[in-house]
Amino acid sequence: MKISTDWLNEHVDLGGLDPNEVAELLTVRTAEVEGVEVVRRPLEGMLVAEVLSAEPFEAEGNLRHHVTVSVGDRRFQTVCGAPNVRVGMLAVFAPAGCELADGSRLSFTELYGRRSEGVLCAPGEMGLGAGKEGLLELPGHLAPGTAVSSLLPASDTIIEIDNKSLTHRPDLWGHYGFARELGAIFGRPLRAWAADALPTDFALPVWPIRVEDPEDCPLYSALAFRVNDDGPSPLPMQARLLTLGHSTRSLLVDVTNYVQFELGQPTHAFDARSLSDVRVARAGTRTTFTTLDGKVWALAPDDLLICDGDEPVALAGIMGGLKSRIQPDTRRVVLESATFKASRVRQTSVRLGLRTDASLRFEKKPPPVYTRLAAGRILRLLREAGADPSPLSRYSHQGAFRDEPRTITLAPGWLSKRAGVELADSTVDGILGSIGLEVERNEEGAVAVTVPAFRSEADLAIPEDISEEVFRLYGYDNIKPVSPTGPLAPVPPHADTRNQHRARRILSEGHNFVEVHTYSWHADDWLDLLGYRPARSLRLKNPSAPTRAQLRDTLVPNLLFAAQQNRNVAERYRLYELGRTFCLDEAGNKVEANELAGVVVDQRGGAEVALRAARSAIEDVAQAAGLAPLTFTPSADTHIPWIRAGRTLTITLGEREVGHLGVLSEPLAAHCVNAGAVVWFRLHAAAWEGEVFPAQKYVAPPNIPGSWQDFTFVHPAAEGWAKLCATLDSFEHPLVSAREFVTVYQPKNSTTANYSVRFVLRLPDRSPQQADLDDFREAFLRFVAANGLVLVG
Amino acid sequence: MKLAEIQQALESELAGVHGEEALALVRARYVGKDGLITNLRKNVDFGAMTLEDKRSFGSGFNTLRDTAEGLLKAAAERIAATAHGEGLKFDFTLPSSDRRLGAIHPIVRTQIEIEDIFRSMGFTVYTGDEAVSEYENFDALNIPSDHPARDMQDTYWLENGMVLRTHTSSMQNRALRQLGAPLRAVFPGRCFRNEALDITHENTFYQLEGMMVGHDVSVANLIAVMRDFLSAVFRQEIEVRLRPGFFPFVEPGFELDFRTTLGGVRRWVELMPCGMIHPAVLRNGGLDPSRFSGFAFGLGLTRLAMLKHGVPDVRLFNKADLRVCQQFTATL
Repeated sequence: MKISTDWLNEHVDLGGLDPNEVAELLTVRTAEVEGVEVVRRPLEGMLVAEVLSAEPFEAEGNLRHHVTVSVGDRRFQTVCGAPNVRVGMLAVFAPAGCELADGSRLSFTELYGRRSEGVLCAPGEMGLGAGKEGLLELPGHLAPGTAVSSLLPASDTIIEIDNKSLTHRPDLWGHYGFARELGAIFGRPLRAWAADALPTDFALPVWPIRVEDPEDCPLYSALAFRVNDDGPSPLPMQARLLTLGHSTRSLLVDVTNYVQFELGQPTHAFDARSLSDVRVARAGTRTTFTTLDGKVWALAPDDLLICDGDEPVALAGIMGGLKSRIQPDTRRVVLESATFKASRVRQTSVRLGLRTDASLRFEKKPPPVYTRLAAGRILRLLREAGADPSPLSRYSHQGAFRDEPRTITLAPGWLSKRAGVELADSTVDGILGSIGLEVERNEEGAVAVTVPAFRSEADLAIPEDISEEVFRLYGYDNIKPVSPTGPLAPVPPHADTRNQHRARRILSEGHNFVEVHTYSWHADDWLDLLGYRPARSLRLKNPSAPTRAQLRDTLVPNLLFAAQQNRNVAERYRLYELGRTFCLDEAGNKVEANELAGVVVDQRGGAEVALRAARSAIEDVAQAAGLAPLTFTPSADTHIPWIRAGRTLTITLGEREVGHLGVLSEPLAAHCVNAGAVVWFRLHAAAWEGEVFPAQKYVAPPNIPGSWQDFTFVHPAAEGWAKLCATLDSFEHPLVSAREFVTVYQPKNSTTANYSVRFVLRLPDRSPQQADLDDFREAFLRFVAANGLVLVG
Repeated sequence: MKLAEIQQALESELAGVHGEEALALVRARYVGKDGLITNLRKNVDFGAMTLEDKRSFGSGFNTLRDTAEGLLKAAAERIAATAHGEGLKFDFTLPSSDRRLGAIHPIVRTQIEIEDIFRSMGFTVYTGDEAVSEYENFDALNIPSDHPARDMQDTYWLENGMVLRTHTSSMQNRALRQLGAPLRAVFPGRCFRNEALDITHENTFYQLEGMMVGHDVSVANLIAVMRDFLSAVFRQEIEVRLRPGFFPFVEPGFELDFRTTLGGVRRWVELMPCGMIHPAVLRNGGLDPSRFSGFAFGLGLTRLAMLKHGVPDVRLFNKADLRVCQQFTATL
């Protein structure tokens, strides 16, 4: 939001202050200033002029006028292209020699064979906003020849405020609120709100108001009045509106906008000819509404409308209607000053994409009492502009103004304790007084703060709200940092994150894996390609795209997609992600869990190396967490397309299934990579969650020599090492201290493979003798024969 | 020259010899036909010596000659052992192979670093769900039922009525209830907002929420803790300042800016929202606001990772692009 220093000056004297200092202090005391801009107005030499004649002619396909103007004692001629030029109007004339806002200097010249001794000015040429299309029209009471520089300051400083820092301060959505703040910050008095008394005369009729939805419209006030004329607004009013980038139309319209930007309370002026009463109601079955700019909008049943009987005349809090808008000949007016529910206004305006200055302000919940302050101010400004407003109705309302002051009590010493710095009573009282809050202290030192109605109830309601007012105006920079003191005690080590980070370190620092992040939802088109349909997925009501509604129940598909995305970046790569998965259980309750999933891609080599590399990484993750060794057993087919018998292993820890590891089938791999193998795995948290510092007991290294014997088995490759292992597990002999996999060799075109196994032989108390070794060998060969195992050779 | 001096000279010369050619030169100079040692015998007038002298010279000479030969042989062996291309049957200057170092995601690296700093300051780390109830994400935090943040265009709503948390502040209520007070805790995690993506906006991002609750926790405490924390993050003295800011779960609420003396231009950079915990939030967490006070802050981990690592586009973080992620190899 932009604010004008010239406008602020009307309410508080900012003379002698450096605008940059104003900006700096506003930022740290009140609201963030985004920029300060000095707008220069080249008014020197410009005069109020009356258009005496305007001869139309056409040049270069456009209608132009050769105009004669009077500036009192002199006349000038000029060529004017503005569409709104007309005989009798007052405008600003810049004679030759004047400078315009774009820096150009005017000279006597001839245009289209006609004499031109200067120009009639558009607002933009005077440094009032950007408008270059039409002439700035002046009200009729000004004397031609008056120097424009005597009517307007030659420059204005515009301060731009970040709207985000004003969301809770409806009082700051107008200049008066900022004037109050600046008065408090710089110790300068705020001038009283200049408003006329509102007509309460019982002789006047009540304006009929019927609010059918008091929740959406807690207060509606209206006043019908008549004006003697509706011409151009006073120049200072137009200048302020134009400088801030708003357009001007006529006094009746401008004055409502002006008060909106001055107080933060939007109002609306209806032409009383198209309004006989006011009914505030929801749109219901009505389907369209035409706003005053001629646009037609589709309504929703809950949209709130202002109606004349059944006929809607305004979209409540957003924009007035076409039919009831102020016309050039409007003299009788109904002024609406109301409070609408913030969320109602927001929802309608967001849905329609129709954000207006009014809707923005209603979204900030202006205090109801503003309705009355705005109406009185409008009457005052109309009177000062010479429109002579005379009431046709009493100032009427339905709903409460809620203008009783409220009291908030603070415990003795509470403010200083909360600040962490000693705040003297006089300091506190001075600060609160400067923003219109009255302070009373009782004997114990409790502070009763009376909050006037112009500060929103949502903003100032509890002692903490008062503390904000005191601290910010005292200056947060005046509160010196104080380190907290308290007992020193160990904090709980958070096992969740520590376990996760350990798993990451094993993969990233020990196994060449790169951690990636993917989105928390599936991509349905990718799932379709993979042939996966999640069971009982948790779905988004408003996904960013219709195909992104299912939350991921496993990280695998997104990682396979990541593998695909990187297939032309590298030939071999390993990716993993550690993140949340979501689904619903059978009862429909949300189940959320951590999952660690990875892919190992080798586009040149085979699956075997990749699979064993992934398995090493998984085993290391579990071992580093101090867990028992994981077991890997072949899985059966499931509905999940990447879990296929013959290429997937189920990972268990004790009895508990903790994950899967597998080689992607060729059709699926073809979706992901250019060639070669894709190995994937997924682990549940149980596979990496251990003690933060896993306990480890020392085991004395054997100091008695042992021995070892290797055996090579011919075993069906389809059954695999896992099956062979399971058989060998049942062999027991006192000499065996460990059994190790040595190597495997599968001859081409053979259904069997040669598995070499080493038995480490050791006795606890002595070196094994030949007799011991012979005994082991005999026993083992008996076991081999009994179990149908086949040894090589 | 005395015999001992000759031996000493030879030893020191050999110490500086590293090639076979240099060794051959040294050998010639000492034991060659015209060598220092060879010439010793040539230049002696045996006729003028007594038998005793002759014997003494002979044994000294022989010892010197044998020692010299021994030294030269040892040097030859040493040179042979270290000569390039000899001793190993491969090019041992080839680059490394089989690198084992992968990478941890830059946001997670940042998270781990921040966790470590807070742990060192006596804060515990606490995590929780990403899909949470409307109560945890909004109501418990004193966010009014008609607040714009609850609208569909800002928040991802789930069909079961829950939401994907829009901030890690959703952890505040659970932490207050489960950990109680006094409390120092940070909650890192993934958050979601339904917004259009551009170089500074992502619908999926990371935050780290922090809380300190105790008796008489003050604004001055907040400033000190934030200043010390940020100085640790940026490894230099950091100035912080508070500006008024509004968030329904704090009162007063602040925007915290920081400024450093490094980097030439000293300007304030907006970094994080924070504030004194709203009494309604404490009450919702089962604490009596007349006994406890505290502060809370919300650090954008994603933004901090961008700042620390110089990542220009927030969307790079969720792209799973090897070329981006594998850069971050430095271990923690």
